[in-house]
Amino acid sequence: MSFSKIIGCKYGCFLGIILLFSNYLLGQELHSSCLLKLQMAVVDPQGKPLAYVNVGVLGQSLGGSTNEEGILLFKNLCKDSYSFQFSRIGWEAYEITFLIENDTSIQIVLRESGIMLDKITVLGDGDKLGKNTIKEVLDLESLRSTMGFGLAESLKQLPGVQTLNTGASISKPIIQGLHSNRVLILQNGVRQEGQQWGSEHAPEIDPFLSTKIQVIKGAGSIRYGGDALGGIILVEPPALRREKGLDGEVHLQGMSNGKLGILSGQLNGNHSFGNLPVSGRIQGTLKNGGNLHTPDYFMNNTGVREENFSWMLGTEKNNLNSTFFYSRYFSILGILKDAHIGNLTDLTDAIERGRPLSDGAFFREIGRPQQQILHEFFQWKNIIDLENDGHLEINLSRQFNRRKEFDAHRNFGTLPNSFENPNILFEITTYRGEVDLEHNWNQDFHGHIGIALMQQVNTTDRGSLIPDYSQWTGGVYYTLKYKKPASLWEFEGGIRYDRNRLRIDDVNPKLQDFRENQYQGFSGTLSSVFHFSNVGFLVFQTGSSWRTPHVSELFSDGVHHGSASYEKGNPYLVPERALNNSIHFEWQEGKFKIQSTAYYNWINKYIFLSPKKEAVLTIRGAFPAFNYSQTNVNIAGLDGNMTFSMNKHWDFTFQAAMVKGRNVTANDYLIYMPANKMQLITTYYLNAKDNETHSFFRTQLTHVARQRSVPAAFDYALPPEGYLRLDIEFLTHIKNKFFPDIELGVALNNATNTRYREYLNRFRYFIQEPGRNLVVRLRIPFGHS
Amino acid sequence: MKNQLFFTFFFFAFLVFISFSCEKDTTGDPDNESELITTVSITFTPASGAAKSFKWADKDGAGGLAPVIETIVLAANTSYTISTTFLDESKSPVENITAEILEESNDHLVCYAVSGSAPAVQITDQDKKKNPLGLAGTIKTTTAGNGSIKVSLKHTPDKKAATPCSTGETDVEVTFPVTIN
Repeated sequence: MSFSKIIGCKYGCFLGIILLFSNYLLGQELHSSCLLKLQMAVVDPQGKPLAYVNVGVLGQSLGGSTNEEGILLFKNLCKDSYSFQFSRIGWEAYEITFLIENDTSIQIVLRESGIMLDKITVLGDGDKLGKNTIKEVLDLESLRSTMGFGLAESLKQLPGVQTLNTGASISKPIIQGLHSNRVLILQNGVRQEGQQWGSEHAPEIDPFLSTKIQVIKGAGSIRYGGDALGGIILVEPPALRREKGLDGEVHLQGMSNGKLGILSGQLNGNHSFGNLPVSGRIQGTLKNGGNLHTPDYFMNNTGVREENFSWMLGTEKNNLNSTFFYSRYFSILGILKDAHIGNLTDLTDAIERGRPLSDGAFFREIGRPQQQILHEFFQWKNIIDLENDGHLEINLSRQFNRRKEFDAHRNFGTLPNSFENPNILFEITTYRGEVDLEHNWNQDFHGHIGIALMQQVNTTDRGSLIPDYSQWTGGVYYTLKYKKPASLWEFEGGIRYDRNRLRIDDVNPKLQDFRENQYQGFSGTLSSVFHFSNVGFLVFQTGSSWRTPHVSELFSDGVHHGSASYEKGNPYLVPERALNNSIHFEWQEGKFKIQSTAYYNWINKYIFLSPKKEAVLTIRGAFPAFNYSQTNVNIAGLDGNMTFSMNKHWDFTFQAAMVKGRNVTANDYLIYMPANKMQLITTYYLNAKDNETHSFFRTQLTHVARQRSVPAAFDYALPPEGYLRLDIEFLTHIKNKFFPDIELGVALNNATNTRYREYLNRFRYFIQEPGRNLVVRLRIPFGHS
Repeated sequence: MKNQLFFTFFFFAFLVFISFSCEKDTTGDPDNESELITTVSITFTPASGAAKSFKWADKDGAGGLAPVIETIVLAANTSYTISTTFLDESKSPVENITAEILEESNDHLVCYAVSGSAPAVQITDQDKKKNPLGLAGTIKTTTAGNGSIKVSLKHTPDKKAATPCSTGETDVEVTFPVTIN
């Protein structure tokens, strides 16, 4: 795995010094051809030299290791831009690109890696994916400024991600036009299993427990599942503390719209018990908000409460690194009262009004309708280092999710005042075991082989939307990456086989014929990266994935009050099969930085709700009826961004996303595809842009077009008008005696209090989007070594 | 020394947290038998002659079997007093929901919307605040023909509003075809 070594540096360095002197003496003329020298001195944060640091040059067969003095010398470099990559076991990998015009001497400071295991030089699961998977990382600064709004709203800043909303408090991510069961969300490497099939069921993860969130688009990673037709979201907590001592941080946030307050904190510690180093963390978040406000009226009953808690405990001994991770997420969400509709007549009246009957008022109490969700996650992860062969990872986890929904409706009779008896109660328990062996054949080939097993039981104690069921899945996969250090190309392929057994545990006689269901299939990806220059690369990716129909799609039968519709499942549905193709482009040179992804995906047997011509007649009146059916679709799109760093103070970014979906079988547009979106972001840095503690003033102008590509007769109302929205943000760092660095952010979202509606907000028939929101947030890190 | 103590505490705190960390699936409590309305029955009593009842019934609730709707057949040029009842026929014995509507009469309103040859309905009964209730009424048929009557039961309507029947929540909304001979 190492790059070619140069002759022992003592000799080379001596030579280097002579040559440096001779160049100096002989003048500039010699620099015109490829005779430039670069001396690198690698040190740790205390200034101590670091030996045996591998240095590689992107796209070239140059490289070497630093000597005992931490020095590495490069000779015969051309007047060009080079990308250097520094790596050493136990230290954070570092990459830097710069232009060499003269003989240069440079000092590089490396930081110790967070992961305790010496041989691993990457920070988390996502990093092991490398460039072969098309991914976008939400940078920490952007994550911190939007964490208070929830996971999906944070991700919305990335060009390829949109959101599906139900009101303002429920938000789900959409990647490449797909969401819910077609997007996998992973918490610390484990698939989140809750009731993610529901479009009004938001992901139950606290973004405050994470410092890194990545989005992998398309069927990029076979390792996590063969059914991520839209993509994968990796939510990773920070690595445990490595040095002895304590540190932590506290977040305080306040928002004017909804008078929302957030308190979140984290404490990390590391201590040695005899010979055993133990590292731990406790973290928690509290959130409390009341009714939100649109420019014209309050949204009654839209308060929110969240009480989240997590801890992590890890140790390492010899070659074994073992960590426990636990997280508990609990939230109470108020659902807009005016959105729970009695029947079609009421719905038509509500749509005609387009707004609630009254202007509403501000209050914090959450009444009916409301959702109460508890999600508990426990994981035991073991990483065993196998010396040169790579490592073995064993991951065991248990998840429990309890979802209670309280309606504003009752079939008849007065609603109880208490919240003891929910109208809907789902409980789902999932056990998962995964083993992954990372194996290096030689320095060019790098593979993973693994197996993943899952057992799951879902009980519906109240309500009848979905029957009780048990599910068992097993998958085996193999991925192989090929990368020659000197080559401009990298290749990766993966193949996976999954089996799925779904058993309906309900006693309903109508379901007995469909009691046992078995599914199986292969999925695979093939991708290649082409470094066309030092400053850019292209990724070509193609993959095939498949998804089994969910119990809700097979066996729904009833009125869905949340959407005033009657939904009927189809027990004869077969799995969906998708073919995803993407091209991703990244380039960074001088003042410009561009990244872009283009994709064209086919999905056969795509499952969706198709309207029936006749409404269903119930005692409450007529409800529009929808049946789950299958069709063939294709979805194509383009998204990306471009940043122009004009100078030390100004940055301009243009970001856009476009998705086009087509129902091929019906030869019509595909329903509920995101509308075209463009953003222009202007940032003025008050001080050093590259400094981590910089201050800036930023404006973000967003334009979302009216969605015109909709099929006829599918929806209650036409898509809303396009809109323009302005957000302003100010960020600064305050240094003081007590805390080294306090981060203060002040943002004014929807600064002009624009009235607008979002096409992909299911409540758009009843209300506008929230109005102006002033957000003040503080982040106070603390700690000592 | 202080560090040592603190960390020992820290470590034991973890052990405590671990032991309190397991939520489990609860065995389902039986659903409180929430009341359901499955049937609307209107009885037409002429001045002289036998009373006739007509039912709109969906005994198995939404979906499943389609509702059974009887056509109201009336004589032309006749006055009738009408009485509407609401039943839950999904249970045995059949539950009469009308009694509860009477008890909470202030919170309920029965609305009648007619079309075609069906005559308008005059509501004759009142709730406890002397506002219209709608369980009892009168109609007078004129010429022969066809039409329909839509019966709605509204919960917490605004009885003082200009059109009280478009306020409140709809508990029942059923349409009977009407034939006048």
